[in-house]
Amino acid sequence: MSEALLVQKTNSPKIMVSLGALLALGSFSLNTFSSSMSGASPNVEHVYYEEETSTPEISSMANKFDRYKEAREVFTGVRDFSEQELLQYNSSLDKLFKPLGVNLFDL
Amino acid sequence: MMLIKNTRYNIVYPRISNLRRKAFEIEDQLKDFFHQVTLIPVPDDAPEDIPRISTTSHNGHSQLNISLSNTQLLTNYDDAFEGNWERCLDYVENRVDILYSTLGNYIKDGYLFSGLTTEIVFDSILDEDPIDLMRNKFINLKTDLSPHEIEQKITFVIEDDYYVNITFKNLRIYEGLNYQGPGMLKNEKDHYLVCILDVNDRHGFNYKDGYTSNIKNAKKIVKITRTILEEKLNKMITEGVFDV
Repeated sequence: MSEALLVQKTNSPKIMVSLGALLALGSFSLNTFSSSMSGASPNVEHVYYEEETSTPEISSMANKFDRYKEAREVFTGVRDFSEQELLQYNSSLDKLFKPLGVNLFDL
Repeated sequence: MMLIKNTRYNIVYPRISNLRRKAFEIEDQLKDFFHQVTLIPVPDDAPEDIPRISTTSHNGHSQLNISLSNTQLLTNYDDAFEGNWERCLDYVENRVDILYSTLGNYIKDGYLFSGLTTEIVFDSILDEDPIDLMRNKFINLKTDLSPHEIEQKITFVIEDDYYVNITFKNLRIYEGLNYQGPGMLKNEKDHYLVCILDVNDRHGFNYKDGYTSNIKNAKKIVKITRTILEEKLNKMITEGVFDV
């Protein structure tokens, strides 16, 4: 293990939702913003915005393209087993292999 | 002593189409200061603020990321620079000039806004504990308990277009092994007062129809930052007087 300097984090991890994030994700667009403010279309939902005063950071590749997310995108349609499928999978393994009497994770 | 740890300059603009095809033109214009660019393989329909082009400065202190709607120059300062804020800001101003000149070839209808964020650390020479300093100078906190962490942000609007965000907080640094587990923060090494100064012209963007930003606004942003670092910041931490 290498030596490192650590910074204490006291905040609970949270998912941040901001206008900037929504813009980044394409959930809102500047066009949506202007049309909603001008009232050009009676069907446009009235929305409220929180004033953002800070300079926005460029998106981090690490945040948006982590390995898990990348894998999900590469293997679209992949999902977890259902409860029934998991039982079937485990019983299939039990038929194929004999117990050694040793838990590998205890080694 | 006031140490400039890093600066981040962000330029926000309307979407640039086909940015990847322009990468080698951009590389050519930046070649005196930055390495060859790296094209980042993200899908075309990825969010527009995901970087498409990335490079580093020749000496490795700066990282430049360019997305379809935002360019960010992040600079970390070493011992030779961090104690001299004038050198740091001269460096930023010079590189921002070059970035505006380069991006200007692709942005015809003006920039949306831009901003400079500067992280300043006051090292141990301060003779007052950072928590005590913030309690005594900045906030009227009525408690017998001693806060472990304080973060205070104040935003001013100046000249109608510029936000000046000043955030003070304490920063505890711990020494240990590269292992995250119980007791990992046993050994506190340092306790600093940190100021994050963020000056931008987003107020013009937020409030004025048809607002556009340009290099003059960028120079004004650097100038406001210089003035605060030179004349105002010391007064804030010694007298608790906030005047921008």
